[in-house]
Amino acid sequence: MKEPVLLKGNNFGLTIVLDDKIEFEELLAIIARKFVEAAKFFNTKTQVVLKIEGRVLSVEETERVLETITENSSLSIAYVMEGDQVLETKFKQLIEERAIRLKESRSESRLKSGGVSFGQFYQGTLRSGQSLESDASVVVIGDVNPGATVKAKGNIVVLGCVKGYVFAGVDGNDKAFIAALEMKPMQIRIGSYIARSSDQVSAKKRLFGKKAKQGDEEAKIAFVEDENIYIEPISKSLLNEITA
Amino acid sequence: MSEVIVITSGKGGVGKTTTTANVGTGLAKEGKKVVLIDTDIGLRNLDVVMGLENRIVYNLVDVVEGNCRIKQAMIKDKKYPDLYLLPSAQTRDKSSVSPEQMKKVVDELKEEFDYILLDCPAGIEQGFQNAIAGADRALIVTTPEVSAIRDADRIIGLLEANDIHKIDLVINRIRMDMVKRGDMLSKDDVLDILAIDLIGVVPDDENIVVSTNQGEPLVGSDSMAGKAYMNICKRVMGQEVPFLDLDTKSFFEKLAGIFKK
Repeated sequence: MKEPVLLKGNNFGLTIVLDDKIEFEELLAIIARKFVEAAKFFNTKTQVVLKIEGRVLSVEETERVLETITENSSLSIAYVMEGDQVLETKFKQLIEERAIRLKESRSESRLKSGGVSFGQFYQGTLRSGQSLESDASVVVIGDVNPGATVKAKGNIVVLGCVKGYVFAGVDGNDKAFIAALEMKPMQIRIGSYIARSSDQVSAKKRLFGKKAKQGDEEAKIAFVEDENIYIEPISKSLLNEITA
Repeated sequence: MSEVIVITSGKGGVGKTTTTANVGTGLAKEGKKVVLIDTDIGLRNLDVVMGLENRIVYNLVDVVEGNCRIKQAMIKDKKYPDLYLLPSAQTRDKSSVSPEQMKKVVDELKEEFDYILLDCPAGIEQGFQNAIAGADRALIVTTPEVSAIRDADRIIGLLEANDIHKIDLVINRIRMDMVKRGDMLSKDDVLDILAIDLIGVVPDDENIVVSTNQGEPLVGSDSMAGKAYMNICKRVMGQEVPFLDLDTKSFFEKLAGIFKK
C-alpha cells in the first residue's frame, strides 16, 4: 500500500506527497510523526520551499500543515508551491514575526530567565546540608557554605561567599547566571551545563583557608557561553553583554 | 567472589571514614575492584576525605529513589580507575533510605565489585541499621579510650544479633609513648575487653590530618599510618601479614622515637 505521507527532497526544498483519501486530521498526525522521526535529518534552520502534491488543500488546511511542520521540526518554510504555482504566502511573514518574537524573548531571558521575572530574598548563611530551592531567582544575603545547595529556576545572586553547590536555571535555562561577591563554588550548574572546582585549588583552599589573597575575593559572575561555564569578574560591560 | 564490609564504631570521631577511605584505596592499589558507599546521609564526609566532593552529581538517595541509575551516581577515583565512591546525600536524613533498599543497592553492586565498603554513621539508629543491612563482615574501629571501647562492645553485640559474625578490630590512633607511660590502654588491654580478632593497629600520625585535609588517602605511603593501613588491606584480602608491632619492643621504640622528636 502507498504511504499516506511521503517526504521527498527536490532542488529547492522539500516535496510532501499527501494521500487524498484519508481524513485530514489523521493526515496531520502522520505528518507530525514523520517530521519528529526525521528531526535529526531536518535539523537545519535554513528556510526551504515546500511543495505539496497529491492532494488539493484549502488555504486553511495548508496553514495547518505548515503549523504542524514548524511545530515538529526546526524547518522554516518560506514558500509553498502547489503544482507549479508559487505562493509567497503570509506564512513567510508569520514565520519572520515568530523569529523576531523568539529573538526578543531570548534577549530578555537572561534577566527574566525564561519567564521567571520575580525573585526571592534569603537572609542568612546556608550551612552544610541546607538547601534553598526556588521557582524564581534567588538573592542570598550571606554565605553558601560547602555542602549547602542553592537551586533556582532563575538566576542566583549571592551577597557573600559561594563555597557550596549552586544550580541556576534548573529547568534547563542556559541563559541563567550566578553572581557572587566571592566565587569559590564546589560545583556550578547552569541549565544543562556543569562545572566543578579544580582539584588542586580546592586542596589548597582547604589547607590555607582564609589566607587566600585579597585578589581572590573579587565579585564574579558565572554564565554559559560557547557550551562552557565561564566565571569572570563582574564589570559593567560584561553585564551588558550577558544580559543584552 | 565479592565481599561486603561495613566499617563501624558506635562512637563518633574515631576514624571510620578515614579507615574506609584508606582501606578502600589500599584494596584498589592491590588491584581489586572496590566501591565505597557513604551511608552517613545528612553528614557525609567520605567524599571530602577522598577529595571527590566537587564531582558529586547524584547520590545514594537518588539511586534509591530511582532518580538515576547506580552507574550515574558512582564517582571514579582520581588515581585508581577501579575505585568508585557512591556518595550520600547531604540535604536529606537517614530515614530517606531503608535497610531493604540498601541491601538491594549492595546486591546490585556485588555483581561487579570485589569489595564493597560501607562507611557507617556514628550511633546505632537507622543509619547503622541501613549500613549493616547488606554486610557480610565488619571492621570495628576503636581508639584506646574507654568510651570508644564501650561503644565498640555494644556494636559487636548488635552485629552478632544481626547475624554478622566475621568481625575484626582496628585500633586507631594509638600512641605508643603514652602506652609506655601507662597513660593509655595498650593493644592487649583493648583486646582483653573486646575479645575479637585484631586486624590492625594504626598509630596516631599527623600525616593523617594532612592527607584528610588534602583529600588524598595516605595508604601505602612511607608514614607509619600508611604502612599500617596497607597491612590492614592485605589482611582483609586474607594474606598473612605480621603486625608492625610483632617485635613489640622495636616497634615501641621506633614509634616513641618518632613522637619524641
